[in-house]
Amino acid sequence: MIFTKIYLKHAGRSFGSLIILSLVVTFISFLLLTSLRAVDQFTQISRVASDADWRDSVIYTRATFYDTSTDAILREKSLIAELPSVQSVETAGIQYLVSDGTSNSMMCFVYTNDAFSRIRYPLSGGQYPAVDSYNQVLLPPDMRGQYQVGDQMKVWVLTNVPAGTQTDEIKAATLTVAGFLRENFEFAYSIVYPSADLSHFFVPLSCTSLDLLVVFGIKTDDGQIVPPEAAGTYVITPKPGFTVEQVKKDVQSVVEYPAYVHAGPDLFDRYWKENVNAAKPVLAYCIASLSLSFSLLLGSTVLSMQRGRKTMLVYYSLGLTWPRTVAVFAFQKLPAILLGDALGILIYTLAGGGGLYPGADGLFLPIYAVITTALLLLFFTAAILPFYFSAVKKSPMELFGKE
Amino acid sequence: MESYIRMNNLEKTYKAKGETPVKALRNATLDIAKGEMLAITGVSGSGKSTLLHLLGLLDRPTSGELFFEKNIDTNVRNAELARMRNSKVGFVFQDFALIPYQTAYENIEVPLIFAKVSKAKRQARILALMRSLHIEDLKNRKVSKLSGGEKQRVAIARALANDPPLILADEPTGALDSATKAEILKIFRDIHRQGKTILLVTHDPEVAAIADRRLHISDGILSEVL
Repeated sequence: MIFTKIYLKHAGRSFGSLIILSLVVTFISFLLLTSLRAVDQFTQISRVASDADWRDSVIYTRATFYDTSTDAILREKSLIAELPSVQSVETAGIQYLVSDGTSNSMMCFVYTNDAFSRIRYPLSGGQYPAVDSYNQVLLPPDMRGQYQVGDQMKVWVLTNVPAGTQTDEIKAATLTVAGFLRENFEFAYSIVYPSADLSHFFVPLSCTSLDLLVVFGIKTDDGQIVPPEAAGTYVITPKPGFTVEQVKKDVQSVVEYPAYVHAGPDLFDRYWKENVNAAKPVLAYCIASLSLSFSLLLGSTVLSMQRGRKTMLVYYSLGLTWPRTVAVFAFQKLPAILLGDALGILIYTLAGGGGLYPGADGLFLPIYAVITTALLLLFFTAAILPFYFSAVKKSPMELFGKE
Repeated sequence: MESYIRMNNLEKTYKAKGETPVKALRNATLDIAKGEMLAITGVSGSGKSTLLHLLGLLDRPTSGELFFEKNIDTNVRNAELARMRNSKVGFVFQDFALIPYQTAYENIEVPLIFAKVSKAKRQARILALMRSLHIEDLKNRKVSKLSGGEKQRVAIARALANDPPLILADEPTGALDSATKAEILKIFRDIHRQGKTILLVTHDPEVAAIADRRLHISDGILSEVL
């Protein structure tokens, strides 16, 4: 209590230095937050894909500029399934819905099969429905204002049958909100780059005019199960004893577009390289800023200890222990760190990120604030502690002589 | 005579890295009675301040024994030494050692805060001290705005705040003109009459003259002036 009283008295005294250092820390805090978000977003795609076993799979996408009819997709699926090295091949399922109340168009990713039901995005509320459930829907984050978990939504759905028959019928279905996706990451189902990486599949589709939903199965109000439309992305699982590379070669030998067959590990590698290259300039920027703030912090602390050495001796002679006396002056910049950090967090949330990293959004999660504050305190402590201990190790008389 | 403070073969050696050790105090042996006023004289660098630092528990001796009401274990914890400095010793320095950006009141308050005295008691004690030293009108003045004599009165008030039995004064009139010096010396005599033990370090014979006993220190060796 006494220490706190004396500490606050001195920390609040040098107002100018408090403001200057706070502004520098604000910048560092903002930089850390944007970097954290970028790292989280970057690793999240990798985590989602990894959890869905994509490292051990072969991914193939049919070119959208050729025949993408359900018939063509299913025909090629059969060819792949017949390969002796293939355990299973599954395609993405999509379904277009129209909201009853608003006439908004929505696209549903219908994860009816095992490979796709393993794709689990982080949620901001609710929970994933059971894999064998029907009409339990996960909504995108921007629909949080319109619905709550447990709410029902009336939609119109195409009960289409495989292409060619043209017997689509529009029926009503009632969906129940099971939860909300934390971010706009959705599975892109028709990516046709020969050098595609994970980011091309798990992309933030905020630019789409459709609301993107996730559901494991849809039944109409009259009980009809709605089959999803097969999309041209195939997840191929190798049989035990066959490597991903072997399966990739086998698949390339039977499909129409061999350039678009990807071994899962290649998608991860390309994704990593692409993002590391993009992050390099910002990383350099971060290191330069941290070095600058390190010097500024250390310099201002040394200065405040130099200027306060007589006061330190006064406190010591009047009954404060030497380590506490040193602490009052060595840690004088702590309020500037905390104030700057708080401002950095505020600016980040108001600015929605800042776009320092290509493709990174400005999502704020409380954990980012906790990590940023912890990093700043760690950084501050690392800068000051050696200095503090070196001062405490000596007696004040040794340190200041006859002063 | 029963010793109130006793030093027995007290030594202090300073060792700077890469330099020859310097013996600042050699075999200092001294007995001080309760309520005694002592003056220690000596030239600059003779070891006066070192002696004062050891007696004031600001520093630890390299060897020897120190008795101050009780035997002081020289390896005692920092917190215990700090507590003793706060309650048993009052310091008065030549350069006043006040915190310039604080008021006179706030300066006197510091040792009371360290002693965990309640706010009401602190206030009563500070005002009483200020009245007795005729500085009550300086209560809210920043000490940087005070004259030398006023600053030294504030410093004396601060030294007396916790009513310590021992006052250590290092050249207390060194920065004052002769008229102010006389006023400050009168204050020291008054404090002495109240039963405080006072040790004055000075090279001013006029200051040393007010003491009951005089000691001289030269090259770290303490001797009695007869």
